[in-house]
Amino acid sequence: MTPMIGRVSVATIVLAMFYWGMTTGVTPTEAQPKEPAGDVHRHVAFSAVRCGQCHRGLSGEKDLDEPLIKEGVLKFIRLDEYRVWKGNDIHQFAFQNIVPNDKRGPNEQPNLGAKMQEVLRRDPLRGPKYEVARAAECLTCHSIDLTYNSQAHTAEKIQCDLMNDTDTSKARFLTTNGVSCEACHGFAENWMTPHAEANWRKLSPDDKLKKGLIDLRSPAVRAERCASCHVGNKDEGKFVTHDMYAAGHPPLPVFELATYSRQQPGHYHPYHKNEYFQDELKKPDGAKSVAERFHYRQGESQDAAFLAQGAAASFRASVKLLADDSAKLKEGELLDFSHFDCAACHHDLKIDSDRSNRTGGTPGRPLMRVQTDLFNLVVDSAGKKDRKEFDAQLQELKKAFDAQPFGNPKRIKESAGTLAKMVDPIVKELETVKYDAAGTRNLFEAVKKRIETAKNASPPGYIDYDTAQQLSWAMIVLRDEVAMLENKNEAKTIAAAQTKLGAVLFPYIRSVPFPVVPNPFIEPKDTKSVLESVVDRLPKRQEKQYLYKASTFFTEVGDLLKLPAP
Amino acid sequence: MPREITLPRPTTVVPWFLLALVGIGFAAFPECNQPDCNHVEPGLPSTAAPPSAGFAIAHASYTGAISCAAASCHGGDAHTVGGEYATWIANDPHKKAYMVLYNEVSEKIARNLASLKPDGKEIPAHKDALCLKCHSLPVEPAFDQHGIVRQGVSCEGCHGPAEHYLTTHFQGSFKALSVQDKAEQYGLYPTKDIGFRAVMCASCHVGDASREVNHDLIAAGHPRLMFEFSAYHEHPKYGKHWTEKASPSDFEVRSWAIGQAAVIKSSLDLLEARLKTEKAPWPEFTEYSCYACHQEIGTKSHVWKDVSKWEHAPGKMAWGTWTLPVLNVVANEVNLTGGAVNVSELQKLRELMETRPLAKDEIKAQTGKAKTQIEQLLASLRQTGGRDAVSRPFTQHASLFSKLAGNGLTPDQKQFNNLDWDGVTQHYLGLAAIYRAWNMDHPANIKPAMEDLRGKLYFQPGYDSPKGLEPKTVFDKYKKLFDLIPKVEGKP
Repeated sequence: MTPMIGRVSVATIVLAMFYWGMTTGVTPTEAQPKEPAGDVHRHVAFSAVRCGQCHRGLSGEKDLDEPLIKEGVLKFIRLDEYRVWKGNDIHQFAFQNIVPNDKRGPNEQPNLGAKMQEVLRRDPLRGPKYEVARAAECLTCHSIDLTYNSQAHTAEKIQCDLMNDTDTSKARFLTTNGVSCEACHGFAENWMTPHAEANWRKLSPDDKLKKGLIDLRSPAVRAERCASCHVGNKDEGKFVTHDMYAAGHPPLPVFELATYSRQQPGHYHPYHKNEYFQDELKKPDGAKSVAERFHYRQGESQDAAFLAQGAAASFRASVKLLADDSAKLKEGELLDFSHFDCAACHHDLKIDSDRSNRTGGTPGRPLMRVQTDLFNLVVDSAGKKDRKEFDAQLQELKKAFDAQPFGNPKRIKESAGTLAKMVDPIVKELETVKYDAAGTRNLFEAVKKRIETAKNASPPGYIDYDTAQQLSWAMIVLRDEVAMLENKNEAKTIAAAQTKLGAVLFPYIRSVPFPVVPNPFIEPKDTKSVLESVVDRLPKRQEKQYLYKASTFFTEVGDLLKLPAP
Repeated sequence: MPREITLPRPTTVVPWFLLALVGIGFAAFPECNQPDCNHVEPGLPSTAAPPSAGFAIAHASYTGAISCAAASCHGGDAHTVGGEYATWIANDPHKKAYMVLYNEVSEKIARNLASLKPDGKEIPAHKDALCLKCHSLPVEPAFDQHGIVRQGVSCEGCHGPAEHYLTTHFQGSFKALSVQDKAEQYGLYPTKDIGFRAVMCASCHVGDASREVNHDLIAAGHPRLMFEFSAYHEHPKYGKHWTEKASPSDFEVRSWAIGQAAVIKSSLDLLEARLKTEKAPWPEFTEYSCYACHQEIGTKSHVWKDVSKWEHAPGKMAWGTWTLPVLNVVANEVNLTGGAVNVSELQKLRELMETRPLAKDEIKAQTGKAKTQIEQLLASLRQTGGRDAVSRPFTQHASLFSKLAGNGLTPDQKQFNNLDWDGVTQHYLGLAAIYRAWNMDHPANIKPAMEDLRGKLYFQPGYDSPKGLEPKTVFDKYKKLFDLIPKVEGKP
């Protein structure tokens, strides 16, 4: 460790604390709540501004003389992470957007927070004083939960659900900056100082985790973290229920980690472009060391691994949510409708509807929302696991949904619980799968075959909207990764295929597409379009969903299926 | 299965035919464990006999529409007295009930239903007992030498199996018999009794203990049932082969009120039957609002909550949106016999059905309580119904019209009162019935206002749901109509 780096770090931190106090307007007590009574531990969270003191990017030529830069820190990280996030990442508005405001919606109408609050107050369980900006069920995903990972953490045990204005020492949530750095990376109270030291990079992910830094470079860990909000996690109180949807919460789209990661502005080097990794790989035992510390194996696709683990995490999170939620049902209650395919019920009754071509399951029984296709394909193409037991259990889950309208809660609970546990060893196995050019092609071919089998069946099979969306997102990522690994330029072809798919699906998470190349950094010149919110693009997304026809999907996806020979 | 019922006198509070309906009960619902349960003897009606057959003589067989069609009997010119058969042939949709089982929709339904059968085997709709129960008469095809099944819902579907009255019903001695004796001894149903007629129609058009159109069948392709008794009588495609005995000013109001109660009663019978069997799908979606779920959310296609107070909990299935919206007016304002009838148990049943649909035992108990109340209401409405109605004609049309229109709005008249398309349509149909009865002194501009409202409630071509309808426009039209009504004080 050089003395220079140490000095810079300490100075920055001191500055950062001062700056943060000035700019955010929150009292230090809010960010540093006192240890509360009982066994609930509240972490100290710094919010994003403090991180921004270092991760703000270079401000000019003179910064190139900074010792850290001279040391080559830019080979490893970008150092503009905060700026990228602040300029492009909608997670920062997660809280701000739910605070009820009668004027801040489109056309100066009430915003979604205000509308949802009004509807949810009619729910007898929530009552007329309910506030979305103070409710744990909202804040757990829309801010930072300061009790996350504390030993006592379960949604039930924590009594002080609400933000408490008058006594911030009891605040459970840090709402400043919405879902900021520590929401994903872990609370920095114990790694803020050491992570800027030179030897930090040498530590194993486990050692870093002991200080609280979450190993987001691991596809499995990252997938699990993202899925906890984007699919749900009952243990953390994260669950978008059907009454929230009914009140106006945008429906969670089907989850595909690689696509989601690409469509957020990357604030990190993609692994194959990380010069520090490349330098390390030249050293003896470098390959092993980089793999152990950063989960990168040369010649492999980072995004294919994200995709595979994302499919597993998404499946696991949804079956676990099913199991946990059905376990809490009271006698006589139905399973929450959010566990069912939205479009199963929510379609207008067209005469001669495409839906009646749908096969599988009894007519009139809503199917489960759990997406199985991509996960199945990932596991199949990995070719390792003996699937008999898993397949049998999956069939049982489907039968439990089909047993009666809205499913048999007891059977669903047991089956979903068993399935969730079965995913754990599969995740471990998937970590050993190589997504090099051949492995990535292999997975691409598996997805392609799934689509073509349905397309060419007589009569043609049915692929529902969510599955079509997930599979085509996967195809785009995989095809792009194959091109990257084989040094081809397919950007134009893929972009054209994506445009074509736009006729039937939502080809991007955002309607303003980011370039297909990973790690896009766009200066926020047109902040409005870059930061287009979920609510803005919701009508477009839903329109696609209602006009969706499997037959159109089969036609439009054609170009994407033609992967050039190696 | 007890078939012969001791009939209470008509003055008894519970109408005798209702008891009969309960009595024949659940013959066709798969509760019977006896091996010969479905055995049918030659010449006898099958166990799938309609409820209306139950109270009459135990064994009477159908003779078929041709038996009625002699030129000197009912086979004269259509739309004349003596031409009932020809009117039915020419202008009655019941005639087509069997024929439609051969069309494309029926083929598709049969295909889709195959997956529900234990052996997965497809049964053509025209051979499926499930369909024939309502689409023809209950005659076993094997014993149907006269092709009665193929005639659809013919004369005897509503008038009763003719075996015992065919040769006597035109004689003077027969005409001198009481309505009850005609039914009890000869099997001729009292169709002139509005209360009887309403429950009989509802036994197919709503369903009852033995017949139903459930969500499985609808998902397979069958249209939704939306029965409103008075509107069905008035339907332009329906050519009546009879003239009502009561004056329109009386008949229309009574048939609306009694029809409402009969529909609720039948739907509770059906609910009870569904709860009794383990084999019926549960929760049964047809119990709930179709369009609460079946709408393209986000497209603002038909979001009624924007223009209506909505009492149902957010995100829960709404129960009784078709059957209950005008019940309060029927129970409290129609007041044919003096005094309102308490129907509060229906509200409790609604809460239970919406919050804990799987609590079957509690729902069963609550359905029983609700049924008792609705049967009291029906009895109360019926007591002066039927032929007696002529002597006590209903006169307070303006007041009832105003009360019903007001019932659809919140007290401040700024929103609908807990209505979606179902509820608004029920209010419209009720207002239309009262309007038809109120033929002398209504304001002239009410008719165009009503037609205007009706025009906004139609489904668009290609849809079986209110896709593309504008609730705000519907509300404006409704409010406009409401404002035209002369305000009348006091009860009707």
